This record gives sequence, C-alpha cells and structure tokens, in this order.
Amino acid sequence: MTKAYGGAKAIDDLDLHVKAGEVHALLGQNGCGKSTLVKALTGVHSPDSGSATVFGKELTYPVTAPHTHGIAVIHQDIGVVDQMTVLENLGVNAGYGTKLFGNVNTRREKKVYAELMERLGIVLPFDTMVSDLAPAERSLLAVVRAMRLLEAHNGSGSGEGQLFILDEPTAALSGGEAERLLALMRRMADLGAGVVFISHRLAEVMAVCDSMTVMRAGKAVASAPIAETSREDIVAAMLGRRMEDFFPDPPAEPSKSGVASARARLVVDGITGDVVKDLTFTVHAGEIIGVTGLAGMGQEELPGLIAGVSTPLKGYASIDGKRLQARSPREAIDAGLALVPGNRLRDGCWIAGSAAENLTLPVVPQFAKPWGIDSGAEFTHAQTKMAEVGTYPNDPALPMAAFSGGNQQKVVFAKWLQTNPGVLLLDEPTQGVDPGAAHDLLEDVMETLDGGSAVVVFSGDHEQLAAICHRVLVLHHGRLVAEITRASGDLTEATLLHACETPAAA
Amino acid sequence: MSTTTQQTAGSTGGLPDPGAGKSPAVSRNGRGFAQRYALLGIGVVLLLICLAAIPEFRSMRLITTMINGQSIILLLALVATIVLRTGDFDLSISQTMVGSAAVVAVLSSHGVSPALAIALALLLGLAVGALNALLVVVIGVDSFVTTLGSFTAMAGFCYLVTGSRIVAGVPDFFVNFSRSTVAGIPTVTIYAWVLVLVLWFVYQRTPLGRYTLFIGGNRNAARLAGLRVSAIRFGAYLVSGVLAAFVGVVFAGYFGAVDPSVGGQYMLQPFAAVYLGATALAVGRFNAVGTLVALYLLTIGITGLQLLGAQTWVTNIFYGLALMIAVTAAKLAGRKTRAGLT
Repeated sequence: MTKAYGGAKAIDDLDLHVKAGEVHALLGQNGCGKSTLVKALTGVHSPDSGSATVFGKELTYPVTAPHTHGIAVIHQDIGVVDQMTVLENLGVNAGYGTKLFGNVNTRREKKVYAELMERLGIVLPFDTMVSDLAPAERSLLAVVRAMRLLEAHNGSGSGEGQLFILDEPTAALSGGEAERLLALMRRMADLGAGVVFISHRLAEVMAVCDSMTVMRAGKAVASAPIAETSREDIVAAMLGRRMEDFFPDPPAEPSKSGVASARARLVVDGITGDVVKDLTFTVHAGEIIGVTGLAGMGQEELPGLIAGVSTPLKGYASIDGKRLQARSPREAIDAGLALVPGNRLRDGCWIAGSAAENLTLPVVPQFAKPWGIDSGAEFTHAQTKMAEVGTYPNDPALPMAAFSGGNQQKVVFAKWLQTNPGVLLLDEPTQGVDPGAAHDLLEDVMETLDGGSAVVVFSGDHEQLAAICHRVLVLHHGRLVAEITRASGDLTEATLLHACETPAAA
Repeated sequence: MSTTTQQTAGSTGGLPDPGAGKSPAVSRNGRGFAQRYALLGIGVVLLLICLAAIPEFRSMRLITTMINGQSIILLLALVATIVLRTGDFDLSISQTMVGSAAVVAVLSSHGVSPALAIALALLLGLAVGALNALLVVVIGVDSFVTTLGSFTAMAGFCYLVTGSRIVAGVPDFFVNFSRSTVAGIPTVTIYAWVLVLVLWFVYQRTPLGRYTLFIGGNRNAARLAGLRVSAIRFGAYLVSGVLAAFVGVVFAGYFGAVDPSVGGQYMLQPFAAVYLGATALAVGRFNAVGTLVALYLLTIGITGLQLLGAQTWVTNIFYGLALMIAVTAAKLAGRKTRAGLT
C-alpha cells in the first residue's frame, strides 16, 4: 500500500499482517505514518495504490462504513459526550437499537450491553454521567460501544470477524488505569478479535502484545512476535539507530544542608484544592522531583494550583521566597515559573498560529519597536530557539499544525525554556512523544538543572519518573502518602507503582 | 477460519522520501501566496470586467459615490473585527450605531450642544460595551446570544428615544463632520481609511494584536502564557461599543436624519465583509486590510449588477451569498491543510 501527499509519501509500500486472536502493536516515531494508515483503513483517505484485505475480503475504496467490514477504531480522544449517561453514549452509534423516530427500549438496551460487558469482564454503571467516569472507564465505554456495532453487523456473538484499532488509548492514563484497558484488549483478543494497538509506551507493548510491526518513514521496518524481540531492538528499529538509554540521568543531587546548600526555589505550603489536600514540599535549585499517583488522585490538579491557573482553597506556593496570590498564571510567570501543560492542543499552543508566533508569545514585547514588531528579529530568535531543542523542520513560519506531535512539544518547550524559568513545572512532558524526541526534551530539562532551576515533573509514567527524578512524591486522594528518594536506592518503577496502588487497597 | 488482515504492496513509483516535511512546505507556501491574494485578484478582475462591459462604470463620479456610500459599512465592519479577533461576537454594533445617532439627533433637536451630545452618545456606546463585557467576560454567557439580546434591546431603545419617528434636521456641525471634504475626499471615507490603518498597525505590528489573535485562537494557551485574557476581552467590548457609537455620530451627520428602524439593515453586511476579508492577506485571521478589500469587491459586484438592471434586492442576496461562500472557503481551506498532515 502506498499513500502520498504532495510528493512526500506518508505510507510507502507497507505490509502489515494482523492475525485473529492476537494483539498486534503498531509502533513508530511521531509522523512515521501510523495515523495515515489508520485513516486509510477507515476511509478518511484512500491509498494511492495497494489494497487491504480484512477477514478475506478486500476493502473497496473509498471505505464508507468501516464497521460493515468489521473494523472499529478507538481514538485517543475517544469521542464520548460528557454530559450524557453511559447508556446514552453506548447506544448512539447503533441507533439505540431502533429507528430514528422509534421508541428507545431502555430495558432491552441495558440487557444487550450488560451481556456484552459480562463477556468482556467489565462493569460500567449505566446511569452515571460520563463526566463522572474515570479516564480508563471512558475508553472501556468506547470499546463496548464499538463492539456492539460490529456485532450488530456480522451477527456473531464472539470476537470473530472483528478488527479493533486502538490509537494511543493509554496515552492519557496513569499506570493503574492503563492496566484495566490493557486487560480488556487481551480479553478481546482471547475472544477471537484482531486488535491493533498503537502506543508509545513500550512497557505496555511488551506486556500485552503478541506481535509487533515497527514503521519508519511510511515503511514497515521490522515485524516479529514480541517473544522474539526486545525493547532495545524495537527502539533501534524505530529510530534507525541504537539508543543506549531511554532517559537521561539527572545531574548530581544538590546538597540541601551545610554551607554550600542549594537555595529553596519552590516552596509549597499546605496547598489545598478540590482534590489536593494540605500538601507541603520544597524544591531546591538544581533538583528535579516527580509527583505521581493513580488517575484523579491530585497530580493533575497540582500544577494548576501552583501556577495560578486555579486558586487554592487553602495554602500557597512561593517562588524564591515570594508568596503567590495565585489569582492568575501571569503572576507566577513574572515570579519566574513556567508550566508546560499536559494537554498540548488544549493548553499549550495555538495550532493555526505559526511556530514563531507560538514560541515568542511570552516574550513578544521585547521585539516591539515604535514602528511595530520587528518580525525579522522575531523570526531569527525563533529559529535559534527551535534549533536548540532540535525541532524538525526548523521553519518558524510553518503553522503548528504542520509539525508532528513530538516537534510541537519541542516548540512548547522552547517557548518556556527561553524565559530561563527558575521553577519549571512539566505536566506529562513526553505524553504522545516518541522515545527519541522524549530523550531530547528531557536532556534539555537536565540542562536547566545545571543552570540552577528547580523542576517538578507531574506524570503517571513511573518508569520515566524513576529514571529522571531525584525523588518522587506519591499522592493518594490528594494527600502525600509516600516520598521515594533516589538516594535510598529504592526509586524504581515497581516501587512507585506499589506506592500508588497500596493505599488504594488499604 | 482464516481471519487475516493484510495489506499487500502495490506498485510504488519513485524513491521513498524521508524528508517528509520539505516538499509540502514548498507547495504550501505557493498555495499560501495564491490564497493570500486571491480575493484582491478577484476584485481587480471584477473591476476591469465592469469597466470594460458597462459604459456607465467608466465615470469617476460613480467610483467615488460607490466608495463613499460604503464608508459607514466599512467603519462598522472594522469595528466588528475587534471583538471577533478575541474569539467573541459583538452583534450589537449596528444597533449601537443607530442608538448613538438617535441620541445625537434628538438631543440636538432640543438644543443640546454638539460636544455634549457626542459625549453622551459615546457614553451610551461605552455602557452597551460594558454590559456585553459583563455578561460575556465576567459571567461567561455565550457571546452570540448575549449580543443578540443587546442588539434587540438597543433596537427598542432607538424607537424609545425617537418616539418611533424619523428625526430629521441634524445640525450642520454633524453634517460637516461627516460630509466636508479634504482633497475631494469626504471625511466619512477618511475616518474609515484611518481606522483601517490604525487597526492594521495594531493587528499586524503590535504585541496587543498578537495577543488578541491567541485569545481568539486558543484561550487556555493564552491564559497559561500569562496574557491578561479577561482584561483584553473586556477592553475589546468597550472599544467596540465606543467606536460603534462614534460611527453613529458619523452616521447622523452623513444622512442628516435618523431612522430608528434602520439598524437591522446594517447587521449582516459588516460581518459578510469581515468574514470574506479573513480569507485574504492574513489568511484565517480577521484583519483590517482584508476587510477593506472584501467590502470594495462586494460593492463593485453589486453596483455592476444594479447598473445591469438588477433591483435593490440584489444587495441582500449578494451579501448573504458572500458570507456563506467566505465561511465555506475558510472551512475547505482548513480541511485541505489538515489532510496533508499525519
């Protein structure tokens, strides 16, 4: 199969075989053609040549209704309506099992879904608003919904004849939440469905998948059963080169006592929000700490409370001894704080604006001359900063939308690194970013530590936190329940996961 | 049962191109140029066609009448861009204009001095802007619905102050304010062109113009970048209200009489010009020069059709279609850009 855009091939002569009853990982760096492939299978685009055969039948292009071919796609942004109940969301694509003006038989609908969920081994409350569900439950809902639609078309009561494509479904989930979705994927495959799992989290891939295909520049460069490959091999195939380590090491921990002690840059004292309760900690110059917990335990809310996005109910944060009123992000920025938000598209950038406009937004007044903004100087500045973080292509005039996710994140990083922040808050800094770009970004963070910044990383990615942090705080229902330090030698992915989940069991 | 999903290789032409970003960038720039100047090109071609095909078109008198007759709408369209850039609507501007004109006309007929009349009219604009801003920015009501409400309330206000009658006999001061000429150009047109220049400078060349763009484009990102989002949005409504009231003062002098029922006629035309203008020059962004180009293009088209014998209804059809074409073009262009990305 080949798909080209304006001379650049997004998919180039690709072969992909997915067997029924297996979970097949589709891997590759941002912009390697994974998304294009999914779009070609579901009819958003048509391939320029080649064909796809699903369950012995060749797809005819353009694909109009993928579900009639037995294909269902669950996107990262899963398309459920917050202000409707679980049941209402479930039925929407199957027409609520009735005609447009027909009466919706709620009892029958519930029975259909209850039976389906029992088979999948999951439980969702029908009458709960979707906004009240945990993030993983929303993904589960999307899977159940897709399955109903497929079964309605091929009439089979098992997973046979069904192909699910899950596009980075776990990217926004923390470790424990992701587990639930991975278990469901395994169960779907065991029922006989074919599952394509697209993810940047190699640990998940190694744990749940049967086989994998790695794409690079639109080609399949490696394809093998998971049992016969290793993580290092996969990354080497993705990057086209071997990578020695996935995460850079943090610099030596600054001394916090004695004459040469590092000064405290960020002090959080008794801060309390909707979830976060009475949290106190200090971060020193040159120190990088992590904050983690299960989804909804407060590590999502905390960066906003510190940066003044939302005002704490009690307590405060202070930067270099200056106490913040936390009325607006502006105050925190002026005090030397920078927040790289977790949701890049929602909070990090303006996708239709150029890279230069996005990058210089916090500093644009410095280019203002009496006759207006000096766009030449602005462009040069943007180009320099983008080169420092290794953005590709390094063209500040391109709109943000023209960059891949990893490169967009590099621009957002550059936007904040140029302000030389004394305190750098990173919310899920490498979410949806491929391992190569993630490594580059984290190296840039380590450089700010050498310059005396204090860094806090908020993440559900325990492996990453264990690798890059001096110490990690674990939150449970908004309270600090554990603090694991690198010095203790206990800072590993396993201990973090254990610390996150043990209070839940107790 | 064999349930194998597979994609078989088809024929591939050419070599794989790992530098996927490069060639689209070139074609995007080429397309960008065409997109940027398409509207201007259409306008010039339309003007040449009209000049060639319609003998009556070849008179300086007609051209100046055409331009001067559109200056009020151009002023309103420019005012409309202010709030639109911050991602909100201010539909109330046309009624604020008529309300301010009515205040000026009625107060003058009672012997109030022009200076006081103008001050009170501008104060009215400020009040409408503040009310809109209070509801939209502070309380967070949808701006479309809110300003549709203030539009309607102001329509009622216009009937109230005029006693539902046309108020004629606007003093000479106001007539001169709008109609006296400088180098043969009436002041109303000069006001419009000056506003184009001022807004062009603010939008394209100042940090404030950049900020409004980000607030309209992604409000969360703007706030997180430390911009005073609420203050700028609030200010945009105030400026929009006061400028609309100023256009009302110009309006009273230009026509010499104020018809309280006329606000509705001025509602859509400015927005059609603004949306069409956003497809030109700074593509996808509400901008001042694009608005000017779009409005003159629409005027040339309408005048041409009227000279060919079309009735006055052609104006509404033309503007309505132009608005729909503009938003459709913007949508299609956006879709095309996205399709080229993975």
